[in-house]
Amino acid sequence: MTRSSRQRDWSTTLVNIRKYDAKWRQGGPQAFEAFRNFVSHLLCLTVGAEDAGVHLVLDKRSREKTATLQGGYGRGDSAVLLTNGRYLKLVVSLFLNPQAEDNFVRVRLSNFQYQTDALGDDWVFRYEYERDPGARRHPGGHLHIRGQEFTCQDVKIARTLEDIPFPTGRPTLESTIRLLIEQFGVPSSSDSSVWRPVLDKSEEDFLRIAHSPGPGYGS
Amino acid sequence: MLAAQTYELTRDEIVALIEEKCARLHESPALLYHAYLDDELVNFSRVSDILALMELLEEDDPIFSAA
Repeated sequence: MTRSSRQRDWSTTLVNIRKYDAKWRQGGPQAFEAFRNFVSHLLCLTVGAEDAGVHLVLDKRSREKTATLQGGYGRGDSAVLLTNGRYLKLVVSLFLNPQAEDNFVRVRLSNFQYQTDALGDDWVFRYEYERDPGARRHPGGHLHIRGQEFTCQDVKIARTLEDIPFPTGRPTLESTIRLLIEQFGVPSSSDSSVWRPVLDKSEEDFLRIAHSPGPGYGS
Repeated sequence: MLAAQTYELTRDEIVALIEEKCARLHESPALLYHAYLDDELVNFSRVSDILALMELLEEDDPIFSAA
């Protein structure tokens, strides 16, 4: 990351983040594109490489009901190139509930995975969320950490360490970006005095209305 | 802003995309979908992009029942 890019004027990006954040929260079919733009600007401000991309896929027949946001350019890819040359797999399945009184966008599933390669064979950690885990053997929101070794010999675990779904509550893109910057040293394009309040505010607003994932395990 | 695209695809184009992604993983779309429903996926993240595309289709789409 060059010094000049960190010192660039982010005012337009910040205005756009506020604009699209508010727009996607309003709901309705136009919220899908607003969410795409919000995520794009958020990643631009933080860990997204200059030539990275995100894309939205809509079914022509149900374009006003469902959409999927993924990283990459839509050529079968789903990962965002990061400023350190590594990747964030980004998948968010969105829908509008015609039975609901409101018209808010909801998330059916999401997946944020830090990985060193584009395809994700060499992953580091991943957050997974499913709105309705039902009887699945994991909580609706959880974290996997890549690791084989478990150093406490006297503690028995049912699976390998990386297969354990550590419960997290609702994973957020903001907390994932913050983790990448703070703990994994992924360079941010803007200074912390710029990105930190933006992530804090949008995450706080999101968690205020976000669905809490169920406990899973048949509960 | 990063590059941001929107693709409005037909059902057949979505199915082709799903099949292409499944082929890369040597998976059948129908088997993958039912493994997901039956909680038998080994790695959800590996196929989450495919599952998200499947969410765009109708529940009774033939791709879910193809052998």
